[in-house]
Amino acid sequence: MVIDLDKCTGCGTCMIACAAENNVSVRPDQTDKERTITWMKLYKITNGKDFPHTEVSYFPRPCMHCDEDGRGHHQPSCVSVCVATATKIDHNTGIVSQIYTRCIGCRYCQAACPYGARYFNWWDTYYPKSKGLERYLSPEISPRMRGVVEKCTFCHHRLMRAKTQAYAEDRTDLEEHEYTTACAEACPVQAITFGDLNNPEHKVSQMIKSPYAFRLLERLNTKPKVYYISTKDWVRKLADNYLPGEFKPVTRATG
Amino acid sequence: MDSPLLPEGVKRCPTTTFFFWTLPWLALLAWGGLSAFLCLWKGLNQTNMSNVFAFALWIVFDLAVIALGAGAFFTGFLTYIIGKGELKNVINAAVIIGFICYSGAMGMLGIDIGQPIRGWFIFWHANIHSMLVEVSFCITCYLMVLGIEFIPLILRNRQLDKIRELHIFGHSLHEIMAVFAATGTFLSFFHQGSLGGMFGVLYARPFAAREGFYIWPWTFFLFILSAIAAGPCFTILCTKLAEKISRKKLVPDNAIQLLAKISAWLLSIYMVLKIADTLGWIYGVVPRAGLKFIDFYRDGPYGIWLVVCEIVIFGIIPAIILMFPKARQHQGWLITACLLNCTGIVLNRFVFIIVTLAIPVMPFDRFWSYLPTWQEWGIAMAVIGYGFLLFSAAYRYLPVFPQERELNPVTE
Amino acid sequence: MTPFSFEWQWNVEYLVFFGLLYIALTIIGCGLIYCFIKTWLNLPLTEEHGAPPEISYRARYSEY
Repeated sequence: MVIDLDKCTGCGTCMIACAAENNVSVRPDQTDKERTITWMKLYKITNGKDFPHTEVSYFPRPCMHCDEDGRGHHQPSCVSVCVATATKIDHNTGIVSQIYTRCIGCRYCQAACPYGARYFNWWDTYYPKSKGLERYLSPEISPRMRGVVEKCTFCHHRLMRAKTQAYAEDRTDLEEHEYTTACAEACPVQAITFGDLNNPEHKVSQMIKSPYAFRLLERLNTKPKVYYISTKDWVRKLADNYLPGEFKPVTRATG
Repeated sequence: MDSPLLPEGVKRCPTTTFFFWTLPWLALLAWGGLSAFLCLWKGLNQTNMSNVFAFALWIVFDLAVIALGAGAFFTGFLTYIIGKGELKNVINAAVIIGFICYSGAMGMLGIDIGQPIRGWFIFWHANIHSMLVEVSFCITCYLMVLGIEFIPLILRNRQLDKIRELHIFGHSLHEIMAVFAATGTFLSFFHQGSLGGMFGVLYARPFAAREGFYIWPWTFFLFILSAIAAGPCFTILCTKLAEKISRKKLVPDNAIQLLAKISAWLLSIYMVLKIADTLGWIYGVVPRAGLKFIDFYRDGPYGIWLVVCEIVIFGIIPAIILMFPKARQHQGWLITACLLNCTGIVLNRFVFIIVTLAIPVMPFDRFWSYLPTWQEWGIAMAVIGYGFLLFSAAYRYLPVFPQERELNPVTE
Repeated sequence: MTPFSFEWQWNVEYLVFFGLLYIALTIIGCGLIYCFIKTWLNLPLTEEHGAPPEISYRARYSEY
């Protein structure tokens, strides 16, 4: 996934599309941000300067679907610490999945994730009926029970849907447009692009070659699959920790 | 009223006094029972845990009591494997303390996980790469061993001892106690270490992550060392408390002094290694993540005072006190040093759990604070109430301290 | 958990981890079985002599 932060307007449509697509439970009062479930979470960042030099950017953060744990082992931190093998990485698709019926809710994976991308069901699942909210529920996604951890799945059910369609049409390969996530599809400015990073024909694999492409907390070596693009140095600087003098600004690429 | 149950040749307070003694601990248990019921019925939203504080008071308590309960396995190792005869006078008490700590921790964990009924998945669908799986297996097996070590003591109750089968069974168990002590030592070594390993392997959290040896981060070895340094001190403290409350001497001084001396050496070695590890972390892991050591201590109440407290006040100072025989033999200094030592270990566990989670990793994330709810305190206090109750009942009805008669001759 | 379960893999990590676990459980189990058998065998002895026998290990633990 590649997210162009220069295009992102901070509208939050990605958050809403994700919640609607994935049967995310809500609460009557969602103001407690420490306990609400937001698989896609929009952060607001600023360059810290006073007016008139203030700049603001928005930072959508889904699950990074990390490839490594930071010490070179070929599975994300959350997968290596899960006690009941309730989360696994599929090295074919690169998606880190969660088995809700196996999760015992020990929350060790939440402690291991540096991005805060994992969410625990502190309450029983709640879809307020009589407000029409039950109409967005999708039969393709299993709702979660209380006491289990959930997170962004890169809309894995859409991959299943596309593969089923392809199988019915007697082919094995998927076109680029056939599998995309709800957030990428819903983004009104097309700031989110989704595709196969290993496929050189997909847009994402070309976009990550840009000198302005970066990943969140890259120095931790978690090898996330979500890339960001920003021409602004201060945005790139906020995506990782740098000791004085370590950050190298990207000179404007000409041509 | 319950005099047939009391051990022979020792004085115990009247039954009504004992009943009133149990009331505050029963109240704590009741508070805990209510809290547990609420958490199981309504869910973990009864706590102040959140997606930021996935681990909170209960995990801190778990790790703290397991570290303090290490006196059980270590005293068992010294008594049955190394053969330190003087510790026979304190091994029963150590086993009871260990049993209380581990069974209490298991109870707390049952409430802590989101789906307690699925708890057996840890064993059935074990992910062997996870440190927590290692912890769970070893703690469960070790609790079995502690139970087995506790049974001979229970069977020496005056009424139970009269039953021939139980009498012989208890003695048979005691005959091979070295086998169980050795198994317990092996299991304890691994779970104390894995509890440290749990945090050292959080490679994506620079505050907790550590280098290590093969799959074991340095915290693995540091946690074992700190547990065996603090465990004997906790045993000393509990024994001294029992002596204070019962107003009689229960354990001869040589046992206490031996535990204190061993604790002194272990604590000193631990402090040297802890300082080395901290320096290695400050100059290794931390700058590699693009951070400075001081970055971790800028926000909230978790400042540099934590490091000073853990290493100097609750680490180096008790080590120095315990190293001097004159200070060890002085009751006041001994108890002070033991208290400081145990507090230091609890602080160490607290820092690795709460401060690790409070400090944001992403630069634009914020620091979060946490305070437990009354339900969380209820469960934690229930373990303390359970501990007092079980130890009191054991002291009253079982010959926990072998030298009690000799040290307190009952004048007819 | 067992070699018959779905996740089991025949590699050194599984063998070491579960090997050690089963050894520990076996030692505990065998110890308990040994005590049960010893108790069972010693019971008729006490009936014959009519009093608890002089158990040799008693001499070692004279404190109680």
